Amino acid sequence: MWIFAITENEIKEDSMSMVFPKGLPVLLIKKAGEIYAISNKCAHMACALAGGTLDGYTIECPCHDWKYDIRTGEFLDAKEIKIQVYERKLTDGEIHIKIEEEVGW
Amino acid sequence: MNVESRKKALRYLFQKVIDPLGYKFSPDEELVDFLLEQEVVLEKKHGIPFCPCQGLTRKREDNMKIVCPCIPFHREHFDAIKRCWCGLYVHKDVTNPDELRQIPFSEIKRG
Amino acid sequence: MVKVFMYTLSTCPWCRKTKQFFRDKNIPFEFVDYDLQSEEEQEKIMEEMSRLGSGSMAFPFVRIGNSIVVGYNPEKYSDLLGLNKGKK
Repeated sequence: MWIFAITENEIKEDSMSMVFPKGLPVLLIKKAGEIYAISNKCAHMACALAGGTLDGYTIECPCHDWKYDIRTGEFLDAKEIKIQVYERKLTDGEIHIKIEEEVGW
Repeated sequence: MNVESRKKALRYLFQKVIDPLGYKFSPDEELVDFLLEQEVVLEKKHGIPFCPCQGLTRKREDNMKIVCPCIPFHREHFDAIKRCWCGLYVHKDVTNPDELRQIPFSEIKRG
Repeated sequence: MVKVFMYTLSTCPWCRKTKQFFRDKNIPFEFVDYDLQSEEEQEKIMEEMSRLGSGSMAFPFVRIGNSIVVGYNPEKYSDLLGLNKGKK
């Protein structure tokens, strides 16, 4: 199902915003005008990526420096490991993201 | 914190990391238990569950490459010896971990 | 008898197995636990390990005479100690 996440102008270029649709920890990141939606939990020890640093399309976890591509969710040092990326769409200035009915962590 | 419950928590977290990489916890339960306990000790001391079989330096960049599970940062080495340096993790097809040897990466490259 | 010295970690089970190997063979050895040393001492050990060994911080780091063995490797220890000769 599609769930409202944030209004488009609430998030600035190169910045991040945490949202919790249906209680899920989702991190929104605006890059080059596009808003990406990834899980806010690092695949390693579930640290919140929101406290990390953004460099281009790479987000680095604040805990142990694990790096992910925000477009694909891929962990850069082993692409088999991924964090969830969410489909999103823009409707009337609102960003909605797609959440599976059966929420899997 | 209770050591046993933290060991369980680490095991749960790390299982999810090593599975897609083709690794599993060693069938040597005694070794696994000992190593996880050491990691809990290291986590208490440093706030981070470092590898109990590799030494810390003063460089964060180096140290972050030995946070358990450190397989992603030593893939070529560990894939060659079918285990991580500690032997906490082994390739999924390994049934007898005692047959595996601790070979340093420098010798793998030469070989 | 050849001199045996090793750098070990207090947290590493293979370091314990290594010590046990030499004890079982009644071969005297000395060891230093890297993780229990001062930062200054650790720097020195690190420098020595990277100069003589594999360049990694993998333990145990065993010196048998002038040879270095990184890792628990009973076959190699035996070879270097000449323990296999009589059996062959």
